[in-house]
Amino acid sequence: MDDVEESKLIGLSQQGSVDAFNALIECYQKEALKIAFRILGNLSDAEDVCQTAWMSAWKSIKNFRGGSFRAWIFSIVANACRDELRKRKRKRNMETSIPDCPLPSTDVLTDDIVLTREKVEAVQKALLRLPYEQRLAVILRVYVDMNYKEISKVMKCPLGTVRSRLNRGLHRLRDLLRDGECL
Amino acid sequence: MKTWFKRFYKTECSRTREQLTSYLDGELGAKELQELELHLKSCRTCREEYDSLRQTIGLLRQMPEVSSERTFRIDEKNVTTKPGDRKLLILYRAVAGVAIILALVCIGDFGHLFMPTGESPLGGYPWLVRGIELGLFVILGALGLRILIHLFRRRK
Ligand SMILES: [Zn+2]
Repeated sequence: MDDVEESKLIGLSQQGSVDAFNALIECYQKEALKIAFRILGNLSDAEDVCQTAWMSAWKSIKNFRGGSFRAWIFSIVANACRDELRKRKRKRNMETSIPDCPLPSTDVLTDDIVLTREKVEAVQKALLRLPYEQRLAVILRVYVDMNYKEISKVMKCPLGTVRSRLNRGLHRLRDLLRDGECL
Repeated sequence: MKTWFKRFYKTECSRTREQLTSYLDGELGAKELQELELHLKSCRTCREEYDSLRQTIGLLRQMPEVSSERTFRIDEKNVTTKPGDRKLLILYRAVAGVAIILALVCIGDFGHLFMPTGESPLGGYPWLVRGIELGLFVILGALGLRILIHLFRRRK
């Protein structure tokens, strides 16, 4: 989808066209799910969060004032993920039985992977151990190929902050993966 | 001289370390890039650091793709009736039902269905009882009908 087509769809959505909005969902859902899954480490939670995010995007599409729609929608997804993490934290405070790091769900593994399952789990676990801001920055960079400027729009922070979050996040991941003998 | 040299190199290394991620992401300015590459050529520690970060990114990128069978399309029905509205709808229906039943009770009593002998507390003033009942019938009936019409229109 090119920019002209996208802004047309956005305009139509703002006038209340569900079909136009669904075309936008079609376009960005795959990436939205990637982000949510890597942040939460669990497919069904990621799906729920995406559903919530799209619904709240639809409700607030009238407030979208131009700029990058991709950054706008990813920021809504990221916020929905953060809400989910807060919910988990509250839950965990009440029932101590929930483990610190939820294991990545194994139903996403495909046959043609290069990594062993242990390694996949270790990497996802390491990601989950990063502080939220660092995790989000790394995920936006690695899994949806955003550049620093785009990341700064999603995270609503200056470029320097993106730089340092990514740097700290990557170093931390490296250390965690080394400890887990993945590197 | 030696310690000064060491300290200089230390800051050079720590600065390099701070910039390695940006370097890997292709987000360094021309001048910084040149300085960093020059330092990497001369410093083994930083080169090792660079390799380990590059491997980390490589590992992250090798993670299997995730996909979902679910559809995330927004349903026209969900959009016109939000979940909050549904509760309100039930409340509306209940109020309409109660209002119409009360209206029927009033009109029933008006025709002496419930008190055939007319022994009501205001028995001495039957016209007053009938008046109140008629008034209630009109008000409650109108309320019930109004809500029903509102609900019917909304469905269309
Ligand atoms: Zn060095």
